[in-house]
Amino acid sequence: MFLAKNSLHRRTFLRGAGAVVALPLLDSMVPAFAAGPKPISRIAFVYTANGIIMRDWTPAQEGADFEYTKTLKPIEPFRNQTLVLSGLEHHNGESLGDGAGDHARAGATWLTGVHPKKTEVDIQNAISVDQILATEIGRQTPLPSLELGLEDVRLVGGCDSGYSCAYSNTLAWSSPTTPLPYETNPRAVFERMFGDGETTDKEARAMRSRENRSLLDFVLADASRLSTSLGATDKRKMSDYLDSVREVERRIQKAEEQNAAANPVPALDRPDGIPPTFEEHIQLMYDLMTIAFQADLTRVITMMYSREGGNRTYRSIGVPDAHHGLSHHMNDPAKMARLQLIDMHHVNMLSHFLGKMQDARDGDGSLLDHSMIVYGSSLSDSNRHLHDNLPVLLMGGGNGKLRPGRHVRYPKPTPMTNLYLTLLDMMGVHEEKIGDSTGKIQHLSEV
Amino acid sequence: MRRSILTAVFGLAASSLSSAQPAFEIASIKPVAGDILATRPTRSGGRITWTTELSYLISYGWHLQFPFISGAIPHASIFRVDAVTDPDATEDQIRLMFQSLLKERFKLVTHQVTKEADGYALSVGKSGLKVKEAKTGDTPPPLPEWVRGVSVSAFEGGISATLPEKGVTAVTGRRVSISKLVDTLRQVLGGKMVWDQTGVTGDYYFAFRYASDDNPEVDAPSLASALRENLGLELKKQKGPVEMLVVDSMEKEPTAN
Repeated sequence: MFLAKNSLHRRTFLRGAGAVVALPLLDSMVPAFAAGPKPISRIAFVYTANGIIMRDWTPAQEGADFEYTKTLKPIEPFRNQTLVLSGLEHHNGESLGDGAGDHARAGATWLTGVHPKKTEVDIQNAISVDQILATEIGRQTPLPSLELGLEDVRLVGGCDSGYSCAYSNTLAWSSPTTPLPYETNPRAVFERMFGDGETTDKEARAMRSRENRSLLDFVLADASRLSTSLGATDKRKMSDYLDSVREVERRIQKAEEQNAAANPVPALDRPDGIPPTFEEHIQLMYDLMTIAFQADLTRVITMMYSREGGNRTYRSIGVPDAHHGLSHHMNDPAKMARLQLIDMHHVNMLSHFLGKMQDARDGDGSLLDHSMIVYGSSLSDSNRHLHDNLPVLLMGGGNGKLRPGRHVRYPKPTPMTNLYLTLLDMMGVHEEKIGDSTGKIQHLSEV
Repeated sequence: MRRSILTAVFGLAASSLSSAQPAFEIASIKPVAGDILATRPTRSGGRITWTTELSYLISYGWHLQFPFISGAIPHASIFRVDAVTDPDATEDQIRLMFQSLLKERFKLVTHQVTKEADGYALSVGKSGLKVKEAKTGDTPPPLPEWVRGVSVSAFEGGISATLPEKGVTAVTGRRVSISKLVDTLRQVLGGKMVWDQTGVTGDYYFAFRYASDDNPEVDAPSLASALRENLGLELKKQKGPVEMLVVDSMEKEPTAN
């Protein structure tokens, strides 16, 4: 790393009319002749609903030499950043006398580990692990956390056998009675990240639209001025970074143009700014997540592919069936094969995120080196609504706190919340208990 | 027996061939962006809305599950249907209206073939039905404990199959016909054909739970035992003729509204 004599503050912003863009970690931000800054840890929780075909997910071997299964194959290039964790469970997702409603309980439990109250009115859950983190470390960033999703979830009333839709609309809870809504529109996410901090500043955004110019044009003057004082390495980094921001914005604009052209009355079916396909949508969201981490706009992100019981189709991979319906495959081999394609497709999309995170330089390493990405579902076999032996991936290097590249199997019963307790600890947040946790889990950082 | 099966299973499809096939009074169908669909239509009086995919429209229109439909169905788009009909139209009539819509707007051409297939026959047991027909003015029985927390009105007139505990499936019918139960049995049996040989008409309240896993630790009877003990119905494996719908041709996009 090049150490400049004059250092910039870590939280340096490029400012323009109606826009503030935080910068990635530049060499110039490192005090001259000092040791490199302590890398920042980030964490993301990525949820795929409706369970998994577990026989095609779980590696047969434990330890470092596990063979990638069909569903996990897309992330094989990231073997050195992968922990496959088997045997974890969410006991509180079980009925426990409350009868049907496994999908609602699965969604409600994934990040809380408590048994949600069965009600359509006076909902009761717990603070989710991402929001514990947001409360504790969120003050260090402009955005305490980001809650993102791909499905427009504004369902109200009852959604699953007597459970409020609130339980399956989100994974993030800031209090036991406050579910946090997800942002599905990349445009809104972008503005939240790079606007002037007040998304109500409609005039600035309207002006941008009228003039059809990039948001970054507003800050280029600042960028030019700052660039003169940067070293060659930093200039290149900032240029790359600004290019990536501009690329994201360009794709958002393109998506809006496509929306307008293809569907003049989109109404509820396709709000402006949401790309027309699942693949474009998730990849754009992943790009935004990468930039949010890279610019240290937040260190905690939750991403929900779809709500529990969601009925997305995946015609791009030859699966016209509704996802939830297909997940109740009744052991029909043809249906199971199509469901496995969805599982693998979701993992393939994750690999896009991992690639972006790996390519993004962050101090002496990559963003992926300094992050932890929990990927999984709160149901294993959705056909039978099982809440044990959950599919869990823990990706990234965890800022040196993880020893990835292994498949670890935990004995029954090991609560999923034990994993969360351990991850919080690694993020510097020391809780005594989360949900039904019984302690920290072993073998994440050692063999 | 073969004749009764054919009549029961193909009656709806056969009626679609009549010249007086019902149609929606007003119907709009157009492609919409996105990939998320509903698996059945939403009905409010005479207004019907549905955002879905062509295979679901065909499945609903012909009252057949996917395994009984084959051929060239394009999967290019999700469609939004907004239709208006007589508020008193029956569900069977609405299915026929969807057939008309698909034939008219997508130039759908189909034919039917009969195949021998494994399935189940549902009949009334020797001791007769164990449930009483629901009459107007009757007080509905309480909901079973596995749907605790759900309002009674939310269930009225419907049937659901849920998983209330590990390895157990529970079926709850609230003032529904045996033919609705047969539809549900086809689903929980993985799309296998179930032939309704009960000859029973009318609507009923019923509720039963059964072991849907092979796990011997599950404390619940088999599906056949549950039907026998709770409803007085016999479910037996049987081979029989199954009418398959074959899609010969179909346009990817509908004609203009």
